[in-house]
Amino acid sequence: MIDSEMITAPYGEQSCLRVKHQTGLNIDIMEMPDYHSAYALFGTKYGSVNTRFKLKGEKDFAEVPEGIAHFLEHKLFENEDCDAFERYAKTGAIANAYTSFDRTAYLFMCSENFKPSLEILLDFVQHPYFTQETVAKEQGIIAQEILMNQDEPNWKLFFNSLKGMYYHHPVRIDIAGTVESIAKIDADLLYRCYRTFYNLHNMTLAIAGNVKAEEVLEICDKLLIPCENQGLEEVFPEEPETIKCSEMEAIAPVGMPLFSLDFKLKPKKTGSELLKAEMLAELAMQTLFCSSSKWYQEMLEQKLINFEFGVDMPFAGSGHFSVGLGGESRKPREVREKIFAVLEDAKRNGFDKQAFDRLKKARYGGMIRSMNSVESNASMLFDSYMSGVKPFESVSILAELHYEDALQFLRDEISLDNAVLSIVHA
Amino acid sequence: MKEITKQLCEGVQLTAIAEPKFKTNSIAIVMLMPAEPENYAKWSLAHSILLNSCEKYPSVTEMSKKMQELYGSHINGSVSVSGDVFQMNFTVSAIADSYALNGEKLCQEMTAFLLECLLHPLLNSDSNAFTEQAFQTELQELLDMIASEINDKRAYASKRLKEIAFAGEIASHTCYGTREEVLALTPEIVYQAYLEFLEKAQILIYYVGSENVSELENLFQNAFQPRKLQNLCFYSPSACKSEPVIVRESMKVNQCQLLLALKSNQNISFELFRMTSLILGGTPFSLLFSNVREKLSLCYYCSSKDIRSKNSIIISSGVSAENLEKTQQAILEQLELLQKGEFDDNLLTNAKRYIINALRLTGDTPSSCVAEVLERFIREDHASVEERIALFEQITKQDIIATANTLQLDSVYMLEQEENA
Repeated sequence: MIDSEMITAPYGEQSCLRVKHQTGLNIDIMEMPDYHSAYALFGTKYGSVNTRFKLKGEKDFAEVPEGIAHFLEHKLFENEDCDAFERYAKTGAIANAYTSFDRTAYLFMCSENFKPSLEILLDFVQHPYFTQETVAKEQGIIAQEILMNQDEPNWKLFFNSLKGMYYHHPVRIDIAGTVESIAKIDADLLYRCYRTFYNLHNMTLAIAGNVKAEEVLEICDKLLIPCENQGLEEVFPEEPETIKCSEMEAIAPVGMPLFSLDFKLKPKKTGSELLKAEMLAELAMQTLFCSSSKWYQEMLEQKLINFEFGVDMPFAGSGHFSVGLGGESRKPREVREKIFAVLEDAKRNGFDKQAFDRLKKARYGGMIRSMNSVESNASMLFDSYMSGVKPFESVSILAELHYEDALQFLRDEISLDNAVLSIVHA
Repeated sequence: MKEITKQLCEGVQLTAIAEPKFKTNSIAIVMLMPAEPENYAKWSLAHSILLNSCEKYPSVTEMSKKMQELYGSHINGSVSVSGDVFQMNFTVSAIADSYALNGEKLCQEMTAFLLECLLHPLLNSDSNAFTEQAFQTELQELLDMIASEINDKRAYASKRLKEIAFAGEIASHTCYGTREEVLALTPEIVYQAYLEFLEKAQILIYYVGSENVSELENLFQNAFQPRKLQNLCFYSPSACKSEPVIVRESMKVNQCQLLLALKSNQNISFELFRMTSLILGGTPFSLLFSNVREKLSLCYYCSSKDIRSKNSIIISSGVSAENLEKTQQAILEQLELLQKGEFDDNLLTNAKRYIINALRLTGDTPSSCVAEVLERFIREDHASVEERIALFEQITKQDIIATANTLQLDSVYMLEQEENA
């Protein structure tokens, strides 16, 4: 261990130990001795948007096929002798993994055999094994996952919206890639991506539950393989502040038409700035459009929306940031006009301060509530590191937010010219 | 967790689960009635109206405001059918009083709020029907939901398989009725159906948290009148068809859905039935996952789930059109291997570890505490988690083989690609 810090939540009597391990890995541990279970995530800052990169000393930037981070996640479960699921089967742990736009996580949950399960996690993620044969086998499985997603109308709605918002940013491409792009993946490419992004300096281990920090660190000391920080460099294409297309439409077998209205926002420089902006965006939009608003009730009465309507959590990452709302409607364009009218009025005349304060209080309640769960605590630790903020920082930031901040945010950051309406209908 | 059950009056009981580690208080009210599919639309619509309005908070907006004032408290609910029993659930939770910033008594307030919704609904001026406005909003909501069934292809295919596998039985119906049944309703019909439900249903109340239970008990004590105990049948086995029924339908989809229903002709214990399904396709090391997905690369998912109340196991997979038959054959081959006992002994050992691990997770969330106690009620079995683990431990390979040999293919449903899709 090089450095360690105990971080305590402003409310909720919870704390976590953050350790900078000598191998370069960040480790966050929250002991929850009253619980039976433990939840662990081991992951890297590598997702579908990381398509152009090189290491210090390498001459050229590599450009890799779409969907390769997700493909790598699938393949890492397999080593020469058996796959990780077979190993977990011997401990009883429930294991899984996921790849998002900017991160990949390998995780398990267990009520017993925590130590051997953690050993499996740390071991298989650090020992890749790819061959042409196993890559070919996975192409069939992932092709089916891609087709499954294409039949998901909400998936289509979401990616069409991203395609409408962004000209070049790789967030506009599907996390799993396409059947054609994954056909270009081979073992050598997977090894190159692995060597680049699965460096412990680019990774984190987050654990919450019935564990002891010293036991976790003992296992880490034994199994983490020291590596040098190789100086990862990435390039993201220049992205205009404007949107590419204000309406995106798709046809699919759906009973009720689906829609989303997303506002492209300016990306933020630091994790803390982004976290604050996300909370302001969410609170401002909720104050105006959530189920306690006058607007919502009117839209229900006019049958323009139904209970599926909601304000989405802001969506942000490296070089992209948006906030949106959506649901089901037979007249999505009319709903858009009604939303625009409310936003224009709020920008000019302000909005309901009481409602803002009530929603802030509800958000505080949500944070306390999430501390109940081993899984959400471990995920909070993981996401905090990935987003460049400290654990529990959201609680402190929330406490300092005021109505005036939300109004200013609305006036300065949310532009009707940057809204994309995405519709999926039969 | 420490649990105390008290009979409040005939047909109404309160179970308090004391768990100081949670930072929340949670209440669940479960109402049980013998399933009557002709009443599902009424009951389901009434349930939605109760969740979104009441006399004191007469609109969604007012309800939401109240929940936000209670620090983002949530009132939720669901309707479902288990065996031949219709279940109406209402839940509410809020952060523990000690976290309230201004000393509010949140637990009491949220309980009173929930009871307000259940016992003082928003009615018309004659007090004999729900208001037209609340009724119309929820009616449209339910119609939209029925129309949206096809949005989720996997769920839609599962619904279609159940209609085919359990044709003529209660389990073939969705728990919210059909579009035609919903359209035939009026605010009065729905309210009267709810009054009858409220009067007759067996009521189970659960509390999870660390507040003083006697204060809550007072709130519940006079809320519900005594009622006769209902004859609730949670186990309703389905007879296997003499020949498997195969239904093919088509839609504009990219991926086909393949679902199979297997049925057992015997009354198998819950533990043995669950274990057989886990070995066949219920884990990432099961026969279906290891072979149909991993070895043959035919699909992204191929899994099985038991419906013990119907003596049935449902297998589902998403596959390409050209692999539909091949996948079905591969699934049935794995069933045959299970029946012949041609599987590694470790598979049983590992499945035991998997289920034991999952059982011991019970108690780490308020919802799992309630689910555990409710499941015991449904199974009419008072075995603790550790006693159930012992039952799983006793299962032998021969038991699995014998159970697998009672399984027969009953129905197959294929959602295929429409031509020119």
